Amino acid sequence: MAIDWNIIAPILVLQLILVVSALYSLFKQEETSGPKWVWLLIILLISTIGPIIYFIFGRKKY
Amino acid sequence: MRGIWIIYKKEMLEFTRSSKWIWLPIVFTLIGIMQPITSYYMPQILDAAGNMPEGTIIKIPTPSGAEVLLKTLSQYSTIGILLIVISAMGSISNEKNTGSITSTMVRPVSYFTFFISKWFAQVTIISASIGIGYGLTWYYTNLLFSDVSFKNFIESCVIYFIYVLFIISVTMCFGSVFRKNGAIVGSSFLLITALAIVNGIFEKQMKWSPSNLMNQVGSILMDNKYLDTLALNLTSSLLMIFGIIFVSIFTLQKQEL
Repeated sequence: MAIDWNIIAPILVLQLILVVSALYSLFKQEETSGPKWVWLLIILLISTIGPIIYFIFGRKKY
Repeated sequence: MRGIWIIYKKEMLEFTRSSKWIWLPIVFTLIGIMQPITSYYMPQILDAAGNMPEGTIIKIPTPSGAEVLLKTLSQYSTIGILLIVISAMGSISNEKNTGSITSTMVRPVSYFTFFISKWFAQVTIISASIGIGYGLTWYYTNLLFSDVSFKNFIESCVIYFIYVLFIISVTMCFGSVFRKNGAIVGSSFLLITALAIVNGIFEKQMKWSPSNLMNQVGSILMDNKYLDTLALNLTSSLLMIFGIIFVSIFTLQKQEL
């Protein structure tokens, strides 16, 4: 039974949207809590969980 | 009424600004659809990951669609609870910490209006996320496994939704008591998990508890019937939700802001 890419594709697309929107938000942000380049690494290197962690903790409140 | 609508809209704008409308639905969808897909490809995953000796035969019974959906919901009630709590934690405490609650309260806005509109905003975004995620999971399950009827899907979704309301209310109640987000997440997660564990041990005595709603969902999906405690369970859960909201508004009023 070969892997059917039609089934896997949505997961990859969703992860891509997550990463892209996290990056967009990161570059738009003037200041994040903690240095920006660390967040960049977290978003790019840790799949799925990285962008989520950024969205929860990265943005400065107020 | 108008006050509720204004704060509600402001809250929605804040969700859009903080990209919550993007990541929350995506995360719930990912958690959801991972379940049917990994169950479907389990033999291949085992093949690729484990270095089994040549000729090992692993027979995994193909789960039914209902089982897969139930597994998704139990994922939602572990990682999902954490996400819900994290999403709802700041809604009151951030306002207290930044002091913007004071400037809101100077205007003719009651604490009831303030709390209820924030509560509705949280309910909207979280239930939309879970609805999207669970809906897509249902679609995948029907595609890859045996069919689960639309009626069972909707009913399980609605009952799970009551449980979600309970979680949101508990989190926002702790949010109006504490200031630190860590304390809010810790205490709400601890309380809800403890309730679920106690519910697992004393199943006979805990028929009224909101955690028992997960058993109701299981019975609907697997056996296609309601447990006879459903009415009691729903009523007590809804009453508890109202009680918690009342207590939160009361503590908010009592506090020196």
